[in-house]
Amino acid sequence: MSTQAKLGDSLLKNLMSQREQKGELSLEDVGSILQQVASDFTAGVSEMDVFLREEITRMAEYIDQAKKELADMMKDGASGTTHKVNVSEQLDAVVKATEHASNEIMNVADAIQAAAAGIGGEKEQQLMDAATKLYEACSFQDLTGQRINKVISIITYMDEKLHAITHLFSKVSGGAKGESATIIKGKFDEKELLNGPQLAQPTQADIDALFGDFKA
Amino acid sequence: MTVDKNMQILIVDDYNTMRRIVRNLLKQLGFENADEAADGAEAFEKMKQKKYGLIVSDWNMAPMTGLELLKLVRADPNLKMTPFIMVTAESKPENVMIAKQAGVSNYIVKPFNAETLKTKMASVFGPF
Repeated sequence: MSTQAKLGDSLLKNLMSQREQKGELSLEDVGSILQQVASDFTAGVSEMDVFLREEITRMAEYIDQAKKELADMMKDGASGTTHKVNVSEQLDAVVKATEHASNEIMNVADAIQAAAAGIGGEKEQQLMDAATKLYEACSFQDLTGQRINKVISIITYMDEKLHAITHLFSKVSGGAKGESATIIKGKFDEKELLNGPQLAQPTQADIDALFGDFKA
Repeated sequence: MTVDKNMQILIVDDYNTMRRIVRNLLKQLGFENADEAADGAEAFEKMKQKKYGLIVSDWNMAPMTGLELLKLVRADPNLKMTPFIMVTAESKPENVMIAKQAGVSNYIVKPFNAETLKTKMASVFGPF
């Protein structure tokens, strides 16, 4: 319901209620009701408005503070120079680190397979199976990368929206607070929120059920 | 359909790690002849130059996704019969149905193991 509709509705209810009680309303009665409704309504909107502004500004400040702390962590040891923090780059670094770790693990698995080849018997099979399980476990890296990309999209979206709102607040109130401090690159596409693995995703069995008629 | 363990297999994934994992799992199943492509466009070019017995492809890739590659393959008279297994974290039922309607041979949800890969290949080629 729009603000005007809410105001009209409240006024009408008050007028009807007073008329039921008094039978007829004088101009003074109507004026008094109008004053009361307007006063209540303005007070309500004002409180909500202030609350929302404060909460949104607090969220934006929280994100800025987190960025500053990250920047401090990245200061050059020798020069003490603080780098600008790009959240996407930080998370990309995590993806690269996990990729590097996965490759190291797979190199070890390769070495195990090479060493096991030719041993023969049950031991060789056990070592081959163990190496295969190492490979299988490394698929976490791909899923981690996709989940992190999803998180980057969400953070970017929230950061841009919050700063846009606080910037608007500062324009309306004439204050300096809330100027955009965003340093995350790139434009956000809401479709990106939909990509990547879901936390509660269907299992292979669920997918097999969908593929029910795919038997060989 | 019987499986030829010497057939050429094309692994399509934008993550080098995943390509390496799939290649190794195929090797453990006895399939040693595998090529790799990092996206759908590269894969399609390779398919035009060489005959593959199986495509194992990820869904989420750029600039050409696995689904787009699947549609291209199914629309090409020379390639349309090529078995195509989608291996992806994209497991929303509606997306699985889209892939099924596009003609995917089977669908594997990440993360997966060698046994799942073997089962899905067996559903395409018969037991091996």
